[in-house]
Amino acid sequence: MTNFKELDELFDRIITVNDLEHFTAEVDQSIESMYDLMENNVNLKNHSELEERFSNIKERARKIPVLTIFTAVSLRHPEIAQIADWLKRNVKNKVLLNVVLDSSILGGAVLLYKGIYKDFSLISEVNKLHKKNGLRAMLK
Amino acid sequence: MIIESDQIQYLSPFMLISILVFNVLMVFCNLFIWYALYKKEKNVRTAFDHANKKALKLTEKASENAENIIIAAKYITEKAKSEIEKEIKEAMSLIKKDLSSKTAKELQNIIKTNNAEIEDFVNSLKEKSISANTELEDHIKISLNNALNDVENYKKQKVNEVEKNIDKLILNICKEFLSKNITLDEHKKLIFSSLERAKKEGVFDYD
Repeated sequence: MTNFKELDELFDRIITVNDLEHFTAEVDQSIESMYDLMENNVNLKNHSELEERFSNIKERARKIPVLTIFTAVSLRHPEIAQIADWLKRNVKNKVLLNVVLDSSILGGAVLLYKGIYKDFSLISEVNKLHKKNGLRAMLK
Repeated sequence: MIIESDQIQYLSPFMLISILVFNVLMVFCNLFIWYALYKKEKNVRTAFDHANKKALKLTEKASENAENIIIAAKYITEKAKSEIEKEIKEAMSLIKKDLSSKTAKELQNIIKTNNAEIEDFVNSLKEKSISANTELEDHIKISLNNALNDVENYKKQKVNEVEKNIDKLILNICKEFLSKNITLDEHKKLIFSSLERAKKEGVFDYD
């Protein structure tokens, strides 16, 4: 019986859409490598089980809901990891992150999740204040 | 018929007598004619003188009459002249009096009429002037109101434009300020704040 614990841990480490793409590409490459070995008469006892496992992981990955976050600044891995951690703690199911840079929102975030659009950007707040009272009134 | 001297020698006595008789007769005839002429001339002269005298007398008389007439005429003329002058003076004085009184009356009437007309004219002028003034005032008021409304509208339009421009400017300044003055930590806080708000709004509850 093959131990797939490392494979599951690897899956848990997928936090962004880019990670998933990268992971899928790696899986595909691994399957190709496995077939190459078999063609070269290398006996892989559990190749069918391994292939099934890869397919399952890919299927699971496709089903993970994606949270697209528009941010005003480019986020690096530590910040993305913090967000993923927050999501792990606050959202019941696993969520993949799709971080998109949009400097026009000035700050905050615009969220798109399962067809729901939420604009918590600074530009939105500024426009609301501008329409409601006028920025000049606020400056006074 | 001319008888030559040679021929005379041969003239008979009868011839001579006849010639002599003839000559005598001629003389008598001439005398008679002369006398007749003389008498006639005398008669004529007498008549002429008589006529002349008569004419002279007539002339003198006529002249005398004429002088008398002239004197009379002069006298009459002078008299008539003075009378006429007098009459004229009287008539003139009467006319003057009459005229002056009539003129005065007419003048008074004219003045009265004119005064009334002038008064009417002045009154109508006043009325016209008042109505014209009222119309002018109304027109000026309307024009002024229109102009003020136009100015007010123009002012509002410009103020709106300026306010919009100011708002745009402030908005741009805000954007510029926010984009340049928010630190990475503040951005992170804002992002997590957004996630918290999404959680509160139940965004992650949809499965």
